[in-house]
Amino acid sequence: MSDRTVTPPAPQPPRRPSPEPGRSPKEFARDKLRARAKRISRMRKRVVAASLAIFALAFGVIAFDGSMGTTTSTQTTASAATAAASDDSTSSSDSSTISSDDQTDSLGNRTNSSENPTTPDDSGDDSSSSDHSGDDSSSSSSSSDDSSSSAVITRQS
Amino acid sequence: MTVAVITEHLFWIMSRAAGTAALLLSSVAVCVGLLFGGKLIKGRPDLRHLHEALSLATIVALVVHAVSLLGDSFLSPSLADITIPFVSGYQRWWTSLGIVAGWAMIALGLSYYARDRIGQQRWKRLHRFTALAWIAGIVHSLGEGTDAGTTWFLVATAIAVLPALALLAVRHLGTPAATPPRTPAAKAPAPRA
Repeated sequence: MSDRTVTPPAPQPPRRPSPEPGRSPKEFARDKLRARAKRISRMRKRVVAASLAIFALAFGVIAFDGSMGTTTSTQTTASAATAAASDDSTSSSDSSTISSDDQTDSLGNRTNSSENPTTPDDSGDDSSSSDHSGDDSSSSSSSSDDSSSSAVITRQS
Repeated sequence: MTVAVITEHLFWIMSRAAGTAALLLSSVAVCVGLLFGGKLIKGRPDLRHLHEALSLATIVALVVHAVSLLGDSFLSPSLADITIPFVSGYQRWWTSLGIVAGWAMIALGLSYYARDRIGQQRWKRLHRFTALAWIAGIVHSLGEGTDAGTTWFLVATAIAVLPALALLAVRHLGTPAATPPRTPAAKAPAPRA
């Protein structure tokens, strides 16, 4: 009994919790590792949850508020102006359907400010862009003949 | 917006949402990486795991961002269009920049698991280029992104990107003390016995 009272406790490094009396240092280390693994696992789960939440939130905002492109009906009349416009459009196949100011007033659609998405550099893209707007562009290209309405969808990815 | 419209543009919306998520996650990952890599926060070893988890989440989001475009009926790109720069004619420069940035992010991120083979010091030097890929991704999103003009996107991007940019500036411009001082003795070769 007297030995216990006289012997000073072993010096411990600062900020390190001393192992409990009933447990060996190995068990203590194992517990610490287990707690660390649990902490890391919890953190990973939170990152996954946060990522899914960001994705879902962005999806919701884009779906309900974002631009899906412009679908507008334009009335074009056969006049010298449209003839001139169609002359311009011969330089770039589909650009006449987009560069007209009366149809690109949608929110978020920046086709005017950047390079035209439907004016590809190579002819291979003509076919790709006409996949979507083929039926539309055909109607818009016929707008130079007489007054007709055309629905044009433009968008950026 | 009706369900029909969402269904019609499902893959496109998915791609945009995944791109947004990738941008935000990568920005936070860069932030965390700079915090513990630059010794700005000490005594938090878990930050490395947080950085790793965020980076992996970014890579997944990038893959979803690209692959979901394959299902888009408007663009209908080929696999080469979304994986090889300058193949797609759609917004060629912005798209190519995004592809290069995406591949760089994936390669540099996954190189962490081969750092023993690469060599620690070489890998650390290599890993710094992740910041360049991240910046290229930001430029891609602002240049080509459909939502780049919207307030919500700009606010979210600013909240995530600006702190990371500030930390990057601090790391590369302002903290010479962060690097350990090199003494001439340390450079000298050890004498042979």
